[in-house]
Amino acid sequence: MKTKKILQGKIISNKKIAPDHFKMAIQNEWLALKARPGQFVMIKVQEKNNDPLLRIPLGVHFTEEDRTYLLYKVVGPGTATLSQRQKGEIVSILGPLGNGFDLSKNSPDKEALIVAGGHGIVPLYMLIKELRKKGIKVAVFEGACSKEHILCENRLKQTGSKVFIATENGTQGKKGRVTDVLVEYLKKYEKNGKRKNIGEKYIMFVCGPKPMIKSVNKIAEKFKINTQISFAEYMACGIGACLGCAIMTVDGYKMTCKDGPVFDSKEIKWDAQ
Amino acid sequence: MGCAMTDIKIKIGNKEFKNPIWMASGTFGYGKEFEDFLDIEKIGAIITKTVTLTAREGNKPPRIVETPAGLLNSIGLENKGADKFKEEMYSYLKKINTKIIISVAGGTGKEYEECVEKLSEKNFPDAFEINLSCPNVTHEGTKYQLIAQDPILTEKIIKMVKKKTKSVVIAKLTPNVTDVSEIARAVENGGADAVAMVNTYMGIAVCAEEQKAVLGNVVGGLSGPAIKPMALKAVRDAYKKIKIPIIGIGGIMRGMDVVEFMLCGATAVQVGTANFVNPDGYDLILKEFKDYLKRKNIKKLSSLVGKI
Ligand SMILES: Cc1cc2nc3c(=O)[nH]c(=O)nc-3n(C[C@H](O)[C@H](O)[C@H](O)COP(=O)(O)OP(=O)(O)OC[C@H]3O[C@@H](n4cnc5c(N)ncnc54)[C@H](O)[C@@H]3O)c2cc1C
Ligand SMILES: Cc1cc2nc3c(=O)[nH]c(=O)nc-3n(C[C@H](O)[C@H](O)[C@H](O)COP(=O)(O)O)c2cc1C
Ligand code: FES
Repeated sequence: MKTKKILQGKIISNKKIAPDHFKMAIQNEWLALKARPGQFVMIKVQEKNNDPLLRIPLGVHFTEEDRTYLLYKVVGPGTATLSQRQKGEIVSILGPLGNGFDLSKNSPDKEALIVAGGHGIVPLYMLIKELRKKGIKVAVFEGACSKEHILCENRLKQTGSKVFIATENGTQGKKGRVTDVLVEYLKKYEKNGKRKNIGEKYIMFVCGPKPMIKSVNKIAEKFKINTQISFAEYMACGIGACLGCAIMTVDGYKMTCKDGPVFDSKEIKWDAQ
Repeated sequence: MGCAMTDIKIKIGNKEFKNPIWMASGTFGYGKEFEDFLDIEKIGAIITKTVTLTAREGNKPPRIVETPAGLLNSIGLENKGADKFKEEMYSYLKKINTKIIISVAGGTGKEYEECVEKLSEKNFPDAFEINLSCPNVTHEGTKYQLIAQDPILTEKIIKMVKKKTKSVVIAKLTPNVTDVSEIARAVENGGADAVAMVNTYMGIAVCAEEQKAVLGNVVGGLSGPAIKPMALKAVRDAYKKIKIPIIGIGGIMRGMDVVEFMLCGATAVQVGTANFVNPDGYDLILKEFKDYLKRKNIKKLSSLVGKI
């Protein structure tokens, strides 16, 4: 049985939801059925000519009935072209791809700490929904440059998760970095003299820009928390053929598209990042 | 009816290929990665990712970035080395019912020779593609940075590998030279059965915002539609100077691109970057090519080759 396919998806909506961010709903039954939290798709932004050329990787935000939702930031030609696509048009999607988050090792009494920087919340939202369905406690730490860039806040709250926000300019939540809020949260627990087994209480899931990921990893190491991180290396094929999306791990280079995008923080060779 | 299909089989060396549209090294994995998307036995030939005598780790990331109508890569020939490749891939590759071409490279002539010797079996592979676009490690300090820029060394390496195998030998050239036809002549003199061209064009992508090169290796190789006009010229230049068949590569996306390469002198072609855009795109390229032959009433492929 095929685990990934090239699919035709109908655009149901493609709307601006923040200054630089668009949310797109795509109709394709098979994709919506198969996609797991943490997986991604390679989407062809246009068919007219050869520029932009490559498909772009986007995380699966969540699925609902026969729809798959994507949420993307316009940063260059690929995402700008995608933002122009209209309702009713057909797009070619390759997916679902990658391993996704691993929930098999999680004991149900651990609280899940979700750390998202910018659109890092995209793949984490689907995970949160799944964790909540299993009755797992969730605390979300979301960071962005300013209030307008905080994504999905209301929807996150509706999942029954605790939500903590940090903005760099202080327009919402705590002024500073998302990692500051995370450390504060962990320290509260530490104050009660329980630092020793803090790692047994939590499991952490992370997605965001590289500098944020690196500092979250330091926190994970310090508090000995099992942590899974979704990486976004540059990709060309998405299927393990070009060897372009290499990431240095303790066992040498691995491919983010095939072996990832989710890696256990202990698998990564951090001084090579 | 009487509209018999044009025979699209071609012969190179002593091997017959079911069609002239192949998959380029480094863009089709080992074939396996594409099985979900197409019937890989329809392909004229599959050229594997380049194998070297010993394992190579590859270059520091980022290794790829998109540029206008192109892709800049600096993978750095990441592979597990000839022994592991043989152990892990041979039984799979031998079962595929189409021609299998193994791409090999090295830092010295001796490495090419040993690699080919190690990988040669009685009837396998159908061909070797000698990837000559590698940094020349022995001649450090000479004016030639890449082996395929040095006509004398290139000829020597082809002669050396020819002695070690009964498989067809195809020399793959870099376009990063003053006159590619000179190198094409050198490999013809060395006894190559065919020449494949082009490998990628060297280039750099810069991020002005961060004031640094995008690729970890700074320099990469450009592929995709952006290079097609230059690749067509390289093929035509070589066609005028050599007799052995040319396999055209560079920016092929559609069936018409295949025709363009043939008109410039290619007997066969390879599809590279397009595989990343459309992993299932082969069928359409082949169909469009066949449709063209029918529409133009072309009876023999050879009537197209080098027509312009
Ligand atoms: C597995 C995976 C999942 C992703 N999921 C999402 C998502 O859900 N939502 C979303 O908005 N984006 C996501 N991205 C990033 C997205 O793919 C890129 O932003 C997009 O490809 C940029 O294309 P472009 O042509 O618009 O811009 P480009 O011109 O290619 O790039 C513009 C700028 O963006 C940066 N950039 C481009 N690609 C990447 C990358 N892979 N990683 C980090 N920085 C990059 C570069 O600094 C560049 O200068 C994901 C990437 C991966 C690998
Ligand atoms: C990601 C990538 C990896 C490549 N790896 C190899 C390789 O290992 N050996 C080789 O001979 N050519 C390699 N090439 C070059 C291609 O085989 C081909 O010559 C080139 O990409 C031009 O064709 P295209 O424009 O159709 O892609 C690679 C190209 C790309 C894009
Ligand atoms: S994107 Fe091609 S190997 Fe991962």
